[in-house]
Amino acid sequence: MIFTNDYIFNSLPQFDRIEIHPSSRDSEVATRVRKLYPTSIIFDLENENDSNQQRGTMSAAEFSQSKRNLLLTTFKGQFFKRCPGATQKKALTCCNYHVLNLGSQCNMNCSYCYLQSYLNSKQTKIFTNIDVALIELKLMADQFSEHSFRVGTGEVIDSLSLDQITLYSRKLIEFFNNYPKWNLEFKTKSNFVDQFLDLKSIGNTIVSWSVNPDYIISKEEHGTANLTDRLAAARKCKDRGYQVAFHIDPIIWHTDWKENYSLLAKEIQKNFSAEEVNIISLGALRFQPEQRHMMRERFGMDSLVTSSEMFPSEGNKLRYDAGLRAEMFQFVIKQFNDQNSKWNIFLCMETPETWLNSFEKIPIQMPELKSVFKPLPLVRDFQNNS
Amino acid sequence: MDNSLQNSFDQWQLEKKMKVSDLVFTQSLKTTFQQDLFEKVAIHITSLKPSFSEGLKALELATELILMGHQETLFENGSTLEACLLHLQHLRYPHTTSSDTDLKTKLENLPWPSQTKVKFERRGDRAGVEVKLFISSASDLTKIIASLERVQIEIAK
Repeated sequence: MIFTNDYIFNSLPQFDRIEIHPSSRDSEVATRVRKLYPTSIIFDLENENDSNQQRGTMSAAEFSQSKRNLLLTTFKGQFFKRCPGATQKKALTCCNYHVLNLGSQCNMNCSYCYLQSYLNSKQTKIFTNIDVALIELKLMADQFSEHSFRVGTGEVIDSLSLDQITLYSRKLIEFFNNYPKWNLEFKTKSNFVDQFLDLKSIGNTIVSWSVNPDYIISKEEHGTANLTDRLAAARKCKDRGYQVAFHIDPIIWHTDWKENYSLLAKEIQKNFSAEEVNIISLGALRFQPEQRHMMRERFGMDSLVTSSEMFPSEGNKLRYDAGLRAEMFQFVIKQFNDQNSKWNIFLCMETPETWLNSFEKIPIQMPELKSVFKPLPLVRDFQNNS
Repeated sequence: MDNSLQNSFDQWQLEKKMKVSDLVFTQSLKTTFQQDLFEKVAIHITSLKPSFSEGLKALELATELILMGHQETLFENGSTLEACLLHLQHLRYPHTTSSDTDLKTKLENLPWPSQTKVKFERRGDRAGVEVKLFISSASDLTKIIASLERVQIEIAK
């Protein structure tokens, strides 16, 4: 059923239980949740300690269940941070991405998801105090309005898969319209974009999709939109004046990887010209070593991720053999460059050696990527000054 | 407890002061068949007297291989600890094993300077050669540089 007045264009995310923390009781998101979900699964917490949640290391079953239990609460820490890649500058070449975390956990279920080794809360969280996040962001944006900050909301939660509940995309797009040099990036594996398409963007909102061949999507990205639907949603955004980007990440090795990634490139090229796509980032499968136990327990060894041949790398993550990574990157880059040399491609969270093996250059030597990788003022410098 | 009544896996766990959390990977073995097979493989591996880290590595490899459907193959080539570990690695990483073998042949057959010791190694996600050279004079160095330039040309081909 489609309730266009309520910005509900797709089926709602399913939850077994929704808890509302006292601090979020009167929030816009809580009001909307009460309207959209049956009262039988909504529980108003009486006090701060009433929550069903417990913190600590999660078992595989608890992690799976945490996707079905939602907590609306307020966040008391710092919303705006640098991407974790920036903390490994010695090992990785980082693209100055900043993150704004408005919740945690994801209602989709990718076998490789890094949240499996990252989260310690047994609930999906939506932070209802976006007004505080926007104040924090405004202080920073006012001080550095002339710098080109890229701010993403998809680090520990999909940017759009729960957006029909929060409608945060609408507030963020309107906020970023005031800062033309700053870029807002939504990153998603859903096709939920209709809830903001009526808004005008001044062109600094990038809606991006993590994409993979359908073979990988069906085997490893459970509960996500298929490739056709993701590309159709991207087309809708482009047609409404939004920038679009694609993250071919993680590239996953499998017997027919060349054929499947070649088809993926062709699908993107069929729907978009090189000039229409802001950026294409590439990343190969990687994960923290401690994550392997939970992945094995949750997805068995039939998964291409758990059964992959991974080795410890610089920065401690498990990765494919460096030679294989370079081969995969070179292959995918060629699929785009052979069609048009104007595709703007870069590697995500990779070592300088892999950049050199794939492009024969590091980003700062590439004029088309210089602005993305140029050092920016540090968030902590801003915090120290304010 | 009388140690003579214990199998080698029990004894090894006791000797190495193993904690339940050390064997967390066994939680993915869900069926009785998988658990029984693991017990047999674990007894075999620990009878070869591995260290704590060698044993854990082999047992985790064995767990993954059981989940991937391996059975009798797990017990092949297992007369020594080194052979057993290598065998499990090859079963678990067949593509890398194959590409490393090819790379090893290629790298070891390059025109290295005479008397150079060349040893193929995998170090995490990178495979390559460790090269040991002995130089006693400037002319030695000149010859070696010339040879290494030939190696560079061959590698780039």
